[in-house]
Amino acid sequence: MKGSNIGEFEELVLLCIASLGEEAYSVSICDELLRVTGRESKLGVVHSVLNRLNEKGMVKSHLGEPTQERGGRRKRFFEVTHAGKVALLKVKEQRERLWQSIPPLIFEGIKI
Amino acid sequence: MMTDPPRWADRILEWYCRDEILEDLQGDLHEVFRKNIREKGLLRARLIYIVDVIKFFRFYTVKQFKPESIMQALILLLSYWKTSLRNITRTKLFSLINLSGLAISMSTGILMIVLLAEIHQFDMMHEKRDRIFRVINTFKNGNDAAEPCASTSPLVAQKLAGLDAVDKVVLMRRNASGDFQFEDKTIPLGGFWASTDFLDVFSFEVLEGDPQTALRDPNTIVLTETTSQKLFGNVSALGKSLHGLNDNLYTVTAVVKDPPLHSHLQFDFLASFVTFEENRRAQGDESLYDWSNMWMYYTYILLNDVAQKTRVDQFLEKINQEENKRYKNTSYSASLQRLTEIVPGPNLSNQTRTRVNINMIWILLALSVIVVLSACFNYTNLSIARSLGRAREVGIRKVIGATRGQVLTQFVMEAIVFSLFAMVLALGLFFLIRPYFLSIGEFDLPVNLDFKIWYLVPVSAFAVMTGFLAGFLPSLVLSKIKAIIALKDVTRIRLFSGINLRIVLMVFQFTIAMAMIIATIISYRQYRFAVNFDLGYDTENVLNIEAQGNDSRKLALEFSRIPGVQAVSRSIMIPSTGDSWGNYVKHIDPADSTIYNYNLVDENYLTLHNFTFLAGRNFKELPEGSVPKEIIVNEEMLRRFDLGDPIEAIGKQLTLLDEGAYQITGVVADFQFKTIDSGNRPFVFKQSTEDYAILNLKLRSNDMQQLMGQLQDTWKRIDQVHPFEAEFFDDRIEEAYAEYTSIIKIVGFLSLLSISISVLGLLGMTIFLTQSRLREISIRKILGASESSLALHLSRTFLSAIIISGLIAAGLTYYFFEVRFLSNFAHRINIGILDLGSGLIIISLIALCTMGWHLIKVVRANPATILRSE
Repeated sequence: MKGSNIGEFEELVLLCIASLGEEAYSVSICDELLRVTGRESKLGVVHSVLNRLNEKGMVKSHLGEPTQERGGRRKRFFEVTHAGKVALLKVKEQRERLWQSIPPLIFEGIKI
Repeated sequence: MMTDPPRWADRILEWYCRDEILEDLQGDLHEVFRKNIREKGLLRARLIYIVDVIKFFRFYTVKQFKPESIMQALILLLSYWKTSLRNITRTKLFSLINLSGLAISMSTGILMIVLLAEIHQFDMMHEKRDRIFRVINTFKNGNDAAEPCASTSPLVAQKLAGLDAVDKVVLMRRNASGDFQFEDKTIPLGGFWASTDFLDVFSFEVLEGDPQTALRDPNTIVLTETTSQKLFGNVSALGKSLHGLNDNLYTVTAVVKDPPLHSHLQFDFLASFVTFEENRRAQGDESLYDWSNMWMYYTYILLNDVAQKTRVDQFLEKINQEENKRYKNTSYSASLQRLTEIVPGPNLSNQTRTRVNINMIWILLALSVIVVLSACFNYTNLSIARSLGRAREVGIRKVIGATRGQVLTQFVMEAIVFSLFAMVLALGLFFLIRPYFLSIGEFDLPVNLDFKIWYLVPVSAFAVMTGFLAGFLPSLVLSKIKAIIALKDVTRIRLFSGINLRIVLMVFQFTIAMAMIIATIISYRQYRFAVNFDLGYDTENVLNIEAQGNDSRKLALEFSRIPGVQAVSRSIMIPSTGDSWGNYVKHIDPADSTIYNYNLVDENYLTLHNFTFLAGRNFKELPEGSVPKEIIVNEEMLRRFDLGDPIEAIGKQLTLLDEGAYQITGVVADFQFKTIDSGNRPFVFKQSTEDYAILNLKLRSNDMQQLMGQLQDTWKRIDQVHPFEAEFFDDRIEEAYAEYTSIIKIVGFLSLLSISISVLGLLGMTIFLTQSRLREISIRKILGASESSLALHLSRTFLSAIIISGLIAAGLTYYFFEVRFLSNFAHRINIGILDLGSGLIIISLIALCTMGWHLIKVVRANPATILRSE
């Protein structure tokens, strides 16, 4: 399928959204990314990735309830669409196939 | 406790961001902001916020500008245009006042724009101008100030020719002037000696001849079209021979078009430089390529590539250091100057004729800006004062749905419309003041201040900017008016800190006007002081005549025959007018030498000018062919070498550089040798072995005109070729201070401008304020106030503004003149209280008159009629 390829960062963001479940909005996605990868990503970067994913049809969004702490401004929550899940699984499968064809000897003894 | 991110950044976000995503995006940014305050501190959080607002300006976040909204905006603007026009015609008096004020000030603005545009067009006709540089030189002797000069030593040209960064070198010498003869015609001409590549580097249009070889050989000359016409008429000049400079025979190798007005190089001819070189060598003078021989020569270079400039700079630095090692107290430092920066450039000595004093331009610019600001403030003041009258209109607009921004735009538009009308008026005024400005001789600028059509672009931009500046503040005030309050009760509107702001603006205007007046008066007084300064010798009724190559003895004899000519003397230069001739002198210690100035004079000079002898005697007449051995010095020279008092100094010896030892025969009292901005230097009078260039005649006659006629006839008998060149010494002195005349004229003119503007403003304010307080005045009158106390009460604010302005203006001008300007003069006037107070006095008088008649009218009115009509 055309446009079903996702970059490394897009993949990470999709995974974060999936793992955050109900609470996936731009700021929490940033925090989750930081927690898992240790990389501090700027809000602007995450925001534009989310926009791109939306355009590709991999995520969809809806506005939540107004909250006090943001001066009554609603949050936009994201969830992974079917197409997004398919893309994620495809990538996972591709990775695993590659891993399987590598002799384990190569990675022997390496600690991270 | 919720801290908000910077409001203005938020507003920008709200402005550009799409409505659909604005809410959550802004929420996200705010959330991050709060987090950042906790983690990184308030300052960083704000910074990050601002940066993020900028970064989020992206394709997917930014609003789409729909064509409908553009149409909408245009229609709105059109309606503002109509309303502005209506308003202007409705309040004719105020409009007139504002219009005239703005127009007057903008005309100076236009003048500056045209002047600046023209200055930057100088030397634009040279094709290779971006690669042409002039080598300039900075001369420093001992502890004297460094003197930057446009001329350099030919040695620089020689060395630069060897660099491969340099494509071509042009070497020129100035003061190539003299008489040229062809057959029976003798014509005086002025020009340059120029080297081979001159016509290649500079783009002067060649009409006849080959530019590549025209200046290559010795004894060749290039003429301008006019010169060729003068000598040869309509016949081609190529190949003809002329007799001229240095007694050479020149062959005409090319004819060029006359150098245009906007060229810093002006000449009647170009003689090949090799001719000059060979002449010098034939005379045994090898000093041409000395490093110190820098006063008469110009060097221009054409670079292969502008990027190579730094290489050349470094090379020059190296040469400077090497060559200066040979000179103890003196240094000559060469550097590069762009061709395009010559005319709008720094004030160098020894410039070719055409230059602009760049400082003068900056001052003018500053002054025009101030005048324009003054007018803007007028508009602002009046508009704010009138805003009460517009309040109802604003209220209705807001009720119909105008946003604050739209109200703001409307009033700024109105100001811009005003300013555009003022621009039309200003253009007319510009053409009026242009001849006046051009007549201010000091600039010596060949500008004609032509108004080219494309000038309308910067001028309109200027008008719009002025309108914006003037209208911005009142628009702010007006747009803040709350709709309901405006409609309900107009009088309840509080003008935001309007009162104090208006007083500040008024004070600004008055201060400017007063400062200008004071400046004019002080400058004028200093000028008259300079012109009338007692120089220490007589200049009254002394007429200086140029000998122009004729035998000065013969001329002196002929002139002295005329009754009315009391005495005749001869000299080589005219002192106290800015010229100076100098050399080095030593006494006993060979290492201790100093610069002195001198004049070569005959035996009648000192008595004719009534110099005061302190000791010794005057020169005796020098027999033909003998060498002078005597000098007469001034007191400063005695002080310099500790020669004792005048009587002791007689008989002592001084050694003049390149001239040998001389004996002091007389001592005169110190006199003012240079213009009054300089002090005294050691001075020497000596007799000359060559002919004198100037004759000084002491005249006495009841009919000066007839006497002048007789002198002229006598001249014509002796010299039929040259025109009679004579000038009264006193007139020459006045000319020397011509620079100050122009400053006075300009500042005086600007004073008039700023006074008019302030008066207009004052008039407007008075009319308005009295009108709005009619009720109050009537009531006060009924309660028993006298007319005078009423007048005083009404004008209270203005009077205090005037007094404050007077103090500030006095302080400012005192500082400027005392510390900056007059301190440059060795001899100067003292600034008195009357000078400083003059501004205050004049403005007060004018203010009284303008306010006065209007106040009287108002104050005298019958209170009953006013109250009845309310």
